[in-house]
Amino acid sequence: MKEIRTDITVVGGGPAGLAAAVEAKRQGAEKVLLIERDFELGGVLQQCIHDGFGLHRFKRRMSGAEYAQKFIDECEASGVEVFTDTMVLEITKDRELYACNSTDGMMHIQSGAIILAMGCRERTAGQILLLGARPSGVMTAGSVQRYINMEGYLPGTRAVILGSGDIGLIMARRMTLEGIQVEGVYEVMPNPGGLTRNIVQCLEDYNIPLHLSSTVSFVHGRDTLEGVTVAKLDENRKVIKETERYVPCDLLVLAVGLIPENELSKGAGIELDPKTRGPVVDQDFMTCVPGIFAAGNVAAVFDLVDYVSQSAEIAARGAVKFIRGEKKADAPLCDVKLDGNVNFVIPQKVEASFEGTREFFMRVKKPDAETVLQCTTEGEPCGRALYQRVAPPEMLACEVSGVKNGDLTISVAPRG
Amino acid sequence: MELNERVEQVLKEAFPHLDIRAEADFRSIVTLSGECTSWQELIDVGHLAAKVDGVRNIVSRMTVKGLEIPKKDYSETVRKGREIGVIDEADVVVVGLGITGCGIARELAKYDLKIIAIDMRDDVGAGATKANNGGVHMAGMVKPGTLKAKMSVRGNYLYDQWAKDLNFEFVRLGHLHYITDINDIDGLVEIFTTAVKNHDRGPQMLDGPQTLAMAPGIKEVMQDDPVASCWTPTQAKVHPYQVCVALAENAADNGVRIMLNCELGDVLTEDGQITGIVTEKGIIRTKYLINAAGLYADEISEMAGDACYTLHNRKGTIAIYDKDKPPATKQLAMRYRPNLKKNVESKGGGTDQTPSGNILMGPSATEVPDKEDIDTTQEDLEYTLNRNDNPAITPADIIRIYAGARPADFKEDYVIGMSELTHGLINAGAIQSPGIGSAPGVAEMVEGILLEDMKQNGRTVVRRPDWNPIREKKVKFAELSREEQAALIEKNPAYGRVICRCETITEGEILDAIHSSVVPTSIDAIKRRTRAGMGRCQGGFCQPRVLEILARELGMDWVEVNLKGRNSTVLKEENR
Repeated sequence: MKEIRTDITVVGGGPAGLAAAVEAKRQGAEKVLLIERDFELGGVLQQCIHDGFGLHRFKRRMSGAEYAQKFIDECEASGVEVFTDTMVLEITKDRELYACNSTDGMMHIQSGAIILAMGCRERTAGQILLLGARPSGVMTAGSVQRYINMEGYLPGTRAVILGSGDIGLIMARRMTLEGIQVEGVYEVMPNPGGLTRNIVQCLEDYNIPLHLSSTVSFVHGRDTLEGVTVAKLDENRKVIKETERYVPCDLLVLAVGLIPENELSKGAGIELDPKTRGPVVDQDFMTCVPGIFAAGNVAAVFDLVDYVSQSAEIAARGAVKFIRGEKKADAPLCDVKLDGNVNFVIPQKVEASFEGTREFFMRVKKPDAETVLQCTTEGEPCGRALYQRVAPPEMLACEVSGVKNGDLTISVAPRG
Repeated sequence: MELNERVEQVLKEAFPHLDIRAEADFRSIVTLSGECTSWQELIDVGHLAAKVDGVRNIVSRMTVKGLEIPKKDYSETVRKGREIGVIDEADVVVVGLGITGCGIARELAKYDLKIIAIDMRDDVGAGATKANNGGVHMAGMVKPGTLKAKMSVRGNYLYDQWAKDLNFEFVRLGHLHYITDINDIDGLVEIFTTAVKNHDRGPQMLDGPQTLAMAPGIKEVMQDDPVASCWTPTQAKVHPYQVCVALAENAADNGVRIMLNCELGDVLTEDGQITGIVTEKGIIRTKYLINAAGLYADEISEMAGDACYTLHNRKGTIAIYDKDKPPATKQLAMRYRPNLKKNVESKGGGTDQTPSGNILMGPSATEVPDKEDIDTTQEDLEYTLNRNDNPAITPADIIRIYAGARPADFKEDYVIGMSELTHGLINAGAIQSPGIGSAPGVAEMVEGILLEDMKQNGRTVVRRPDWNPIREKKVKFAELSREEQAALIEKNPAYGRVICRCETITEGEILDAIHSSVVPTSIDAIKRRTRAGMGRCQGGFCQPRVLEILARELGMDWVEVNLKGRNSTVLKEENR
């Protein structure tokens, strides 16, 4: 077994892992190791050939692959050590990792700090209790994207999309461009799951109908998919029998949500937030296990890659402080208090005595217009942003400064 | 009164609005005809007729008003097979490679016989075998005196040896039926006395404290206060498809010719003697046909000139939960539910578990007219989820739902034996729950029937000196220590490449599965052998990799790789 010692080990070479590794180097960490399970760096960005990435960060529209490449280049230039095609099998609470690949064999890695950046996975047909047959031709939007954009194959000729998450919307357009007929998008909720810009650019521009409060109630086809029954749902999300309609198709694309991949985190004894399904973190994105940080979609599913990179950089700065002994392992933590239209916030906790500014990310519970995001500490304002409209799919970000005695309240409410 | 008149009378009383006619043959096989108003009613009529004293089994020619009962058309298979002509000759042909057929083929491989074993699907164990709760059952629930009871108890006993020889996962959990209301004690006593009558090994009645001492999770997790329980230690668990693959590989290693994607279309007979079969891959000459064809065994028996039972598909929906939520108890602990007891036949299972530590719920039990119908439905799913005894799990923990088939006859017992009408036809049909546990018993019984018949017909059969009962244990990377894993990768780097993240399955294990004596050709066949794709992400990450490995190793194009058998390709066309 190969013994390796590092200052910082980053688990996952997608946008979060890349940004974390680069930032750790930039902050002066000496030995930074980046471990990726796929054969190349970039994670899911490599299959995102559509544009819209980097608008906040680079003020220009880039494809996912372009965005990733910027970080991959920096990563190489800054001397981050990279293991690709390598799987981390276990992480312990003492910041040890076991990982293996076919060239280096089994590795035992001891780290000053670990940054978790495993990203997320897609919800599947089984998890949404999809009924009927189980033929080929039913797959997640991410799988369809990989087969079409990376492998060069078409998994169908006529598609139905269940769920209006962003990947599903992107794939509606992508499949249309590749000659796959997209019959429609069906969304269980009364509101779309994806960003408004994607509804407009990917559905409306291509005349693809979006059916809200609707679902696929049955899958037909014993061997390969032959069609689906679609139906409207009542207020209790029960199928309205009379509205059932048969749609012939050979591809059912599932865009029904993402789940942070925290199996390794659980193994290390890291506490998870039932709302975000990611680790509970402090203002530096450190988990409850000292020296283990979480960045990007492993912490909470973000809507924009720009925020993913940003969260990773905060985590990396925290990790560097930790290995230098500038961040306490056992600082007392206080819960960030939420008010009004806030569903969840990340980070969920703050140290009683933290200094400087930090970024907080949140999602609202329901759509609203003319709102204000307000952060207060001991009755004093410490951060503020105005929004013309807010909706659950679009994350809000706010810079907070000068929090006193761990008292931070974040509220989103109508203006005035 | 004649038997057929008695049957008609009983049916007239219970179903006055129907006009069902009964005919009985010299063996007391009763054939029913007439029109019913629904499929469930047809099933009820058959069940009731089967209970009339003296009836050996029921053949249904009944119809249902307004319903076309799906019937398999064998004409294309027969046409293909006849066009190809005779391709081989065997001493014995086994048709159907579920756990029953594979078990029989494996046991017969001991002898100097030429054996051909065929299945219509692309893999062994891909029919009823693949989708059930994998129980090797204790004997507290099976009716004493039935063939089913005999096979189940014998099979359960023989499983230890099978597991030892064939190296599949086998855990003897024991079954703990408990009650929280002492008024339900009669139900427990019945399980206990049934187990005793069936000569089950070691059943015991326990009081509340004894029950909790054995299985504290009943209180701690399931939040129940047991007042008594019946403990049946013989209950065990397997992955049924794994057992099936192990049996098939061992059979193949010992010279059995296995032919997959090979549907039987007709059975050839001369003067009441089996002479061969017509398959889509050609004609095979044989004097013995062992019929283990699951839900189609009745049709094959009829092709051979002996319509002696009718099979109906009682499907069951099962839910599998994330390993994150482990079973509440080491044993299979289930709250006894008296209200579920008063049903006609099987009402399915409850909170169960797999040898890999996933909670499994179900299956339900619903009669359907189509033998290929294993669709999950809202009603069945609700039934299954309502069987949950464990408040720590919710539907949000489910990673997969699916349904499987039970090949049930109307007598609700097994049909095993040499046909009285067609010599050489040995039926091993109507093997439903507890079919997984019964398999070794059925194999032993069929072996005995065949050898006895061969002896009577002057054929001396000898054991092959080179027969090897052992199927080597396959590498299971996830179960090894880090040191063992390190050593393994050093020997073979393919074990260092993890393909399935959720279950930690390596490329080495997938290659071992592919390069074996029964070659898996679909993604699901790989899944059943290795567990790649069986975890919480359901192949989201590993499916393209498994597809790539299959295509590479078997020299297929990507667009040719099937998900689950014929006509189920994952990809439709290349788009470069």
